[in-house]
Amino acid sequence: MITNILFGVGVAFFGFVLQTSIAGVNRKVVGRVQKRYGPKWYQEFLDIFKLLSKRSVTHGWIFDFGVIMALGGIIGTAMFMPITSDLVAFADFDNFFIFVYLIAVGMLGMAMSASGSGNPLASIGVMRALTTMLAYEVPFMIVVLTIIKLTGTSSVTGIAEFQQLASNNWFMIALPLGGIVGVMSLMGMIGKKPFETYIAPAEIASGPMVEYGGKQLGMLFIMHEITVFIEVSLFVHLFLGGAENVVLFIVKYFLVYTTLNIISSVYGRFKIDQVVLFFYKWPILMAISQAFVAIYLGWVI
Amino acid sequence: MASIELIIVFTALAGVLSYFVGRLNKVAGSVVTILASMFVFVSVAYFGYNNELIHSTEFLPYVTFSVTYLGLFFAILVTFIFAMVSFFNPFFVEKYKYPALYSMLYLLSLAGVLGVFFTNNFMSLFFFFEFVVWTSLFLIPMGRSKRAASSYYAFSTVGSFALLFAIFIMREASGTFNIVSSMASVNGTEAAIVSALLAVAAFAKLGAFPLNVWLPRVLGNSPDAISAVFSGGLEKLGAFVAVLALVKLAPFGYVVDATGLAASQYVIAALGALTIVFGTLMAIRQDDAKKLLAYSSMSNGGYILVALTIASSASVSGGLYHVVAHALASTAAFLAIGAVSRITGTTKMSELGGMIHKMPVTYLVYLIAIISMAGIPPMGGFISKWLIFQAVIDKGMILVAVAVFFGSIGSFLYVFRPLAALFLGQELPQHREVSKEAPFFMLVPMVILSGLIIYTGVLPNFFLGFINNVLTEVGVTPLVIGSYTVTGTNGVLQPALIASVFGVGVLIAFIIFIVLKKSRKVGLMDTYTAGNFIYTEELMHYSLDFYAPLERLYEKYINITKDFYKRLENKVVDLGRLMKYYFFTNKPEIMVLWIIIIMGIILWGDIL
Amino acid sequence: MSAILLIVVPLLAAFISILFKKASPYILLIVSFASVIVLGYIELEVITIGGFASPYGINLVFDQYSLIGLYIVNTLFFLVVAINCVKFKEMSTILLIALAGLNGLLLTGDLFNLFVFIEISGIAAYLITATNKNPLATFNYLVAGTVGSSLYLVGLIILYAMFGTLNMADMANEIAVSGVDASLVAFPFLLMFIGLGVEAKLLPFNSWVKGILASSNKLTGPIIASVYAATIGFVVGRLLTSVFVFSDTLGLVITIILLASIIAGEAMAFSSNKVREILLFSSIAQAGLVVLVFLQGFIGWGVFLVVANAAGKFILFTVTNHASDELGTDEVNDLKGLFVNNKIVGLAFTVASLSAIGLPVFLGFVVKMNILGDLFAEGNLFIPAVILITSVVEGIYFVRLLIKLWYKEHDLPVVQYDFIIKYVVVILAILIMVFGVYTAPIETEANDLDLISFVEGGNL
Repeated sequence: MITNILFGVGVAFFGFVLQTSIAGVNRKVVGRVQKRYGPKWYQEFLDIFKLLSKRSVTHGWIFDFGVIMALGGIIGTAMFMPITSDLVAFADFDNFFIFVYLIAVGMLGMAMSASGSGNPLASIGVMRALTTMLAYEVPFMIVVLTIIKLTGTSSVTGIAEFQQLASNNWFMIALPLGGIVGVMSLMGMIGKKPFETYIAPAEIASGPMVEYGGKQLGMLFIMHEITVFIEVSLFVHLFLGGAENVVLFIVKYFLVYTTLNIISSVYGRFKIDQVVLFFYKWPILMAISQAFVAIYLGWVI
Repeated sequence: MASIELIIVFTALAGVLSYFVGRLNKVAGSVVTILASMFVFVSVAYFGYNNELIHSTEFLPYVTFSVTYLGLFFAILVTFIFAMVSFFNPFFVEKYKYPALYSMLYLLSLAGVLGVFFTNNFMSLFFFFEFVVWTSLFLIPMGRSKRAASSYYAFSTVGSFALLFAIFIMREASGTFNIVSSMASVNGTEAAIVSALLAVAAFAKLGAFPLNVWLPRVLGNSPDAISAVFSGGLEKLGAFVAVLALVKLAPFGYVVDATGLAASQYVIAALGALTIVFGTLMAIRQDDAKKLLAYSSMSNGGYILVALTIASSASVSGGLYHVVAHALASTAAFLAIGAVSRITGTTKMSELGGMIHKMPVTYLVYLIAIISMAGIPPMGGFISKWLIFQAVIDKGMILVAVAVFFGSIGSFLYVFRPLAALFLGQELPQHREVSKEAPFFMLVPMVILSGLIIYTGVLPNFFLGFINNVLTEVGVTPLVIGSYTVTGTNGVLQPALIASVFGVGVLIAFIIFIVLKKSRKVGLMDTYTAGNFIYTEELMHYSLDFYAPLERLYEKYINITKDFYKRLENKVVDLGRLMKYYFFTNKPEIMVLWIIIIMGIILWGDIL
Repeated sequence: MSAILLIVVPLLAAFISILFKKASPYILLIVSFASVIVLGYIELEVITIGGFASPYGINLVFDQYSLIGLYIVNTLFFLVVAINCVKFKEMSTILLIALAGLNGLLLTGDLFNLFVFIEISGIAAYLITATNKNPLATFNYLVAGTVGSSLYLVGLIILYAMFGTLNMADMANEIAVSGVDASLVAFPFLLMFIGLGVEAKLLPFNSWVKGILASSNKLTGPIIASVYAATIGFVVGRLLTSVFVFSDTLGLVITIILLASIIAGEAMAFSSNKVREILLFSSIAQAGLVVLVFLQGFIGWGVFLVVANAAGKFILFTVTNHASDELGTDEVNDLKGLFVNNKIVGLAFTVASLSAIGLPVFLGFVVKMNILGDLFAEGNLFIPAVILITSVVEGIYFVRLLIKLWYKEHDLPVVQYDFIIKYVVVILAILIMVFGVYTAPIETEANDLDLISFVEGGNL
């Protein structure tokens, strides 16, 4: 048990390092897209460690408690995440719903802490974050419903292994409509443009983050990186057949994240109600028709 | 050993006693409710769990009892809720118009509820059902709204009468009022009608769409303790009937091959889904914290319906577990809000803020409750939602799944609102001086409830084991549970593991936090304001119309049920006016004209 | 002692009371009290009047059925008198005549004699309602009542011409023996039914009710809505179950009229904003239900429905009419908070209304459940459905009314109830509760009544 937990902590740490590096690389990629040089690939690490080392202010115990709960919840969630089908801390217990709901503890902690700061901009940011969540989560869950129904398991490794069988395609291909929905939802999840309304730096002063500095902000940065790690790897496992080994996982992970970044770098920002309308128009229709076609008619490529 | 009959008679007599004690001293009368309901809970739970309840009757005429796991399950839960909430009575009773009556009706409805769960005779069931209706009815107007009571009466009576109709149909088929044998004797069309009628009863009691109008009114406007009782206890009568209607009676109608579900199941599930969606959307809009929780109760009722109608082992145990989880969570949440309203006199979120600074324990209770309500681990709500999701996915109910997921994510939105607006945010000056933590005896039930919410989320196996007994009894395959694991249709869950992993995560985060430099404490007004100087707390508190951009998208369409019943009411009034106009003039000749017309029609038509 | 005393003594007392004006209220009080007491000492029997044997002479039937009716009517009458005899001194004589008429209605076994008593009690009622100070309504009542009794008479004449008898039991017997087609007697029966329908407050024939009860006072409200209604209920019950024979079509038509009456009554009560109007329309619906139950042939529970209604309406009308007499208004909004300072009376009122809507532990629940059960047992699903749906409506307006009367913070209406009213309504309310829980005697009685058959010479 202890080894499993230590392994889980290792996964979380691996995720943090991986995502932070890839995020750094991506800042360079996006920089090139926008015809500038971009920072060094390890810039993100520098930012985080600088923040952690600084002395900052607090707005009361809930402000700190929320940050701890946020980071703790996310680390806890990441500990369940499989990297390959064999590299998983708690085999058989990597249930899809744990990722969806345990991650929410972290979100809730952060939202709580942000509201506890007493800054209305933070509350607006939280409101937008939750509204965005309502938008992207439902189409995504419907696609996952289809996947679970087809594979007969809600274990993430189980789903990945199902796709690795010779007779089956990756769900990205097997369920093309669902795959597209998955990509769009993933962009919403990791807050890429056009769905980055809740951060909206120039508009609501970074929203939930507005009051943070020093170690609290540093911890929230860590939390953010791990969150992205969870969401992107979830996508890799659900739609891209998981990974047989770590290298393959990193490659897939990098490709997904970079693609999303490149897509998002050419978009503007939706208004919050546009985000909701967008997701409740095409993605949900596509998700539902995909589910119907796959479950009731049995048409799976 | 304890006799059910004696427990019920005792409760009723204690109710009468509390009235007379309450006439002498208001608070003393409500203390009687605590003692009596605690006694009832302990005896029902202890003797019931050890199978030592005696069901023979000696005093009550016509009433017969039997102990079923289903009844026991609900009885223990609801008496527990009554017992917990009763601790609030002494602190609130002074405010009510008829304090002694309040105490009496509180215990009388408890007696009625026990009767419903333990009787084995449909006629007694109906008797107790209606008894609960009128005893609880007069508790409602001691709160804020006088209208809520009549709409409660209207909808629950529709439910009760549907139940009665079904009862009589079953009696015709079987010649008996016995619940087990009369339900067993109906089949074919009759069974379909009975099941539909019972479903109407369940919908009315649960406040499910389209019989939902009363629930938010009642829960939103009753006295604070009564809202908790309704949400955690009395509403669960609907779940009890739903088990009878949806699980014990076979579904009917065309069966879809791909999923093996019958048409009736799709209809009920669709209505349950609409309940979820409506409840969620309405909850998001509310400014009143109690109304918000009321709509959340409605939407949770939808989950229970969806779960029960699917009638697989995962879904029924999920549904029943959801009954427990929601009862605990919503009672705790209502009590927390009640504690706030006792001090501030309001439950409107736009008039409150920053209560956490004076009421940290109440805040934590609310936090734990909403985590469970939103279905987030490691609380009880996660287990039940997980089981329900399993069942919905397994049956491939796509559109229902949309609603189920929507309601689940939507619940994050609405439960967060009271958290942000009422407990967090700026501490408003008008409450700063008067606020203090709730008294010890109010905290006791809240903390007990919170403990149970966590317990049900971490170690669900004890309750699920009990629910498995219920499942066996109603003819559903029991759920596979290990000592720490729960096996659903397509996955295994180990809640204790999730909780401990979460604990490890928090520990790591805490270590990171504690080893780094200590932060400097600053006031809440000392925030980033883009260079403006703002000195008014209200201006720095974002709580009114929290989700305005989202609400704008649907606010036009949301009131259809309310409008429908308003129109229905107007139609009845119109009919009445029309009749008065035609028949009740001050002119006797009109009456004579009517006589002639009637005779003319009868004779002319030669129909005699 | 003979049951005829119940008619004769009040009549005699009425004449005496003219002579002793001052003592008249006490005579009334004593006589009405005595008629309740005396009931316990009279043996069940059929009394032949004037020595002519029964089909030819007039007889009074003092059987189980009339005994219950007499108990209820005389008791309620006594209670009304007890509350009102001081205030309405000048009505004493008329009330005595009314008592004689009502007892006659309940006792008589002769169809023409019934007409006579309808007229006697009717005239008394017109005079009593004159105290409403609403002459137009009283006049309308008079016209309507007269039209009704004339129709009854016309119908009776036709029947007499056909069968040559006026005795109820004999008439029923003759019709059965002659084997005449039901459609042939349908017309006279219809006429008689309409005639009684005017008194029984059935829908298209009852336009007088609103004028009378909406402006009723403490005396007229209870006496018309409770005492008279109960009496006419018993009469209709006896005729419908024992004498009249309805063809299927006519039965159906009447059932539809009755259902319409129930629906319309509840809808009208629902749309009213005045307490007395609510109650009167509700009693119209109840009257429809009573007749419907008798029409279905359920004597026992029909009787108890009448009883429950009479007791309930007595409380309701006494309480509200006293308040509206004192306050000069019966708008619900003006009476808001009436019970805040009159808790005892309020509780009785609440019990009566909860019983009227048929909630458990009250008499109304027992009655309603048994009636519904009997209807279902006959395989009838439509009528119970209508009854249930209308009771939802009924429940809503009663609950709404109750809550308004119980809950108000400031500017409470000031109404004092004297102790007699308090005692009377509380005792009735307690009885309603007691028999709502202790149902065994009612059930035995109802079953006994169902078993009796109205043969010549009554059901002894």
